Amino acid sequence: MATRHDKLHRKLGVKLIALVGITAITIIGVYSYFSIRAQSTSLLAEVERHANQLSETVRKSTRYGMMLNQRDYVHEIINDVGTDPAIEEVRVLNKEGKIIYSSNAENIGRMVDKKAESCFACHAADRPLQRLPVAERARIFQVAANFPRMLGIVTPIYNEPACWEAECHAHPERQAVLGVLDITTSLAVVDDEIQRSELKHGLFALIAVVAISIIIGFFVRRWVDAPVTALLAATEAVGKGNLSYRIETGTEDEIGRLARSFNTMTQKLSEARLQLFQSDKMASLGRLAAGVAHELNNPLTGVLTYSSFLLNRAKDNPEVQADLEVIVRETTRSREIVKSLLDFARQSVPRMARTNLNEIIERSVGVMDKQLTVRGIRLMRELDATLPLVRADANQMEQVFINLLVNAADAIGDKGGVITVRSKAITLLPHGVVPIKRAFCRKGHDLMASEVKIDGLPSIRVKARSEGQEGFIALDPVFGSGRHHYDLDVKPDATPTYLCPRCGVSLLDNESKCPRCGAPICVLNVPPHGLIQLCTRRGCSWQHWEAMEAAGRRQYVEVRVEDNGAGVAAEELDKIFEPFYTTKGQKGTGLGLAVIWGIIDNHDGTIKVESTVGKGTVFTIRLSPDQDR
Amino acid sequence: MGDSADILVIDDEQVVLDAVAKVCGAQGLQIDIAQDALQGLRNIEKKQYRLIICDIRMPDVDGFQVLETALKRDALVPVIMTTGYATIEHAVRSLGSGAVGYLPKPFTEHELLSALHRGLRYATLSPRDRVPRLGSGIPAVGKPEGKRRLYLLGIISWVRTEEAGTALVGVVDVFLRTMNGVSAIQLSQGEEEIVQGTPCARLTAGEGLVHEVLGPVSGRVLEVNEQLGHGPGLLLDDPYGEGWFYRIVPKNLSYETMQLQCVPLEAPDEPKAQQPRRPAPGPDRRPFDGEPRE
Repeated sequence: MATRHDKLHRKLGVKLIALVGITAITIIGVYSYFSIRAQSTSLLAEVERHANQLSETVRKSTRYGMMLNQRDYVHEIINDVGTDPAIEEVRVLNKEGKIIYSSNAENIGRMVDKKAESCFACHAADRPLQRLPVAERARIFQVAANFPRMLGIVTPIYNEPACWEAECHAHPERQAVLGVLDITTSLAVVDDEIQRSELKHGLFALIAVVAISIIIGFFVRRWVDAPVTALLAATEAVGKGNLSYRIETGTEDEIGRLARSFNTMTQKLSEARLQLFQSDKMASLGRLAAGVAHELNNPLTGVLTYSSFLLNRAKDNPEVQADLEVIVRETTRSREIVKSLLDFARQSVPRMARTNLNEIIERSVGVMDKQLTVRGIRLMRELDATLPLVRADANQMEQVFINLLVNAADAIGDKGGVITVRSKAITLLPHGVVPIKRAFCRKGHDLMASEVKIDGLPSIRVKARSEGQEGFIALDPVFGSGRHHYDLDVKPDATPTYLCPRCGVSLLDNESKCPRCGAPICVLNVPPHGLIQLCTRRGCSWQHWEAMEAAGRRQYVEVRVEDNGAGVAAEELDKIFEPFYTTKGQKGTGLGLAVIWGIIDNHDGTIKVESTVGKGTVFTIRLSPDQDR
Repeated sequence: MGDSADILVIDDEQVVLDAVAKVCGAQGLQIDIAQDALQGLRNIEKKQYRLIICDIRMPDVDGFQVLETALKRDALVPVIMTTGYATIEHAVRSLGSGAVGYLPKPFTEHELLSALHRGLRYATLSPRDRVPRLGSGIPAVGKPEGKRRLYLLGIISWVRTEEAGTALVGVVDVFLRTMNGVSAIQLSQGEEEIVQGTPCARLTAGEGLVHEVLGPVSGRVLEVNEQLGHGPGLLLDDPYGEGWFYRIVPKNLSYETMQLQCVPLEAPDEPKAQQPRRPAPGPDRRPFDGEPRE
């Protein structure tokens, strides 16, 4: 897997580098070619000019000798000039093409073919003789492959009055050209220079291409390779099921944005998976409950029928009768528990009735009494005799209290301790008490999110933007208590912008400011109870809920179950109401508190837990008293 | 076990069969037992039982199929359905399909005895007495009103819709006839909600057995019939009229009544109009018009 991905990204990097390299080579190559050509052309022109000058000089210096027909003198000059190492040959040809002077003595007297290269320019086929510019009188040739190139230049020697008026009368007047001076110089030095220049350009091109490739390679690695590798690693990790994998997002370019949207995608995926998992868990719980109920009810039938049968026939034996009554009563309670397990699995409504919670507490305590005494646990009751009635399902509430007592006893263990159960009527302002169970943005998107629970309640999830960062805030669902969870870096007193995570619509109320600190406020729809406003400044807990505050102080029936047992660590406290979460290891199913939470929620009540490790735990249940009668 | 057996018990759990046998034996009743539905069906083919007690959840063939077959063979045989998987749906389907009783497991001796007694008394009733006699009890209130309906949960309880959107709930006359007189009526006082298929009232019979009346629909109780506090006379005289139990605000009437028998109230005085229509699904239903048996 990894090597294949490695190759893949290497390929991308190599491709980019190769592309840039080829482009550089092409550009530098074309440039070098033209530059070398221009340089060699100008060098050759210089050599030509130089050779021409030399020709003129030779012609002019030999003129007098020729005029006097002093051949030795001319020979001497030509031979002297010819000794220059750069000059290959200096020769003079007469009109017929016969070499009459040459620095190379053995060539004297030879005939040169007019059609030969050195003559062709003037003696173009069937054309009269012309006067030609220097460039056309020059020619470059190479005798053989291993020899240096040569530049030959032909300078015509024109007839002049002194020639035909001279005593020797060697040349008639009508003859225009008397002969030509042909000087051949070696181009070895020039060619060397051109070659050196070519080498220099080649070297320069090579260095430039390598440098460009290294620079491009460095940035490709930094801007493309590394992020792409990170993305690949992330894709692979997510593919293997690690949905909490996050990519570092440093840059603001497309790859940075890609990384960010990748992170958002995995976040969404993990949320969806969590929800699926939760609903799956609930469905399996339902199936489990149904199966357990069915299996349990058959043996319970045996126990209940036989014990009630015996009870009805034990009228004359009060002691046995009392024992049988316990069996019948407890089996009947078991059947109610099994039934409520089924009800919970089917999410059915509780069978509400006006109920005195004190009576239910007494009943629950009665069931647990013996077990607690055996374990050395003292049970204290502080029950408010004037407790208002509540609308509740008595059996479900009994299940709640028995479960809480069992939990408390387990937390205390075998070393002995105290459990205190208190009931009282209290009045509270809605702040810090009333839970927000439904919240929507102004476009109607549900904001409740059960992934993050605060105090056991699903939180309100909003998107937040603060100082260029984006993230999420899980708002505390309890009205007036601002224990928000920030998923991005928000400094104290910062005022992040709140947005709907679904549609991105701003949740801010543009028309009003926080009356406490003047910061912008956020407004949420909380049907059927109107709107709720809350301050966006971190650290300000101002909230306003018209519907709740208008109702003023409200009465609650509160039951607290307190133990001095082991306590629960703060990080476990958040998860304590989740199904299958247990701190008891093999001993617990992790269902008890989840069932309790479900029951209390069905009763429109709240359950809260506070705990200190080593000191104990307090569960607080609040229900609304029955208002109607 | 010979031809003299009174009761057939069908259940795949031995302990349940034993427990029922114990209780019945103490009453001097002869029982046959069947450990699966097919065995039970074979017994039903062979013998005429006074009462059948049948579990709903069994392997291969379930209790509803047994009920259907038993009623096909003898339309008025009393069948009591039991189940360890007690749901509202099971209760309503059992009673709607013609069972005389529904007994969720686990049950006490008294609960079993109540069901047994009602079943055995039902078997002694004349065919005419085994079907509800609606006509006499329904007061002709105003003009025939299409919206008003009476719904029956088997031969246990009824609900009658009222024009205000409320509904009256009471007990079916056949249920009263299967009791050995009524000595006390216990209506829910504290409970403000009744739930379909779960007990909503307790009637004490002459011999002291308590019979639970299962609610026909779910709803919030608005009013309890105080008149019944004076004694059971009103209930026995006029079970469909003055003998009502509760006035309720139904919770999910349209859904819950889909499972019930509907009796239109257009022509209350017509004796033949008693024949209830049976909109609920099911290929075979107990006829309620008292067709003569045997």
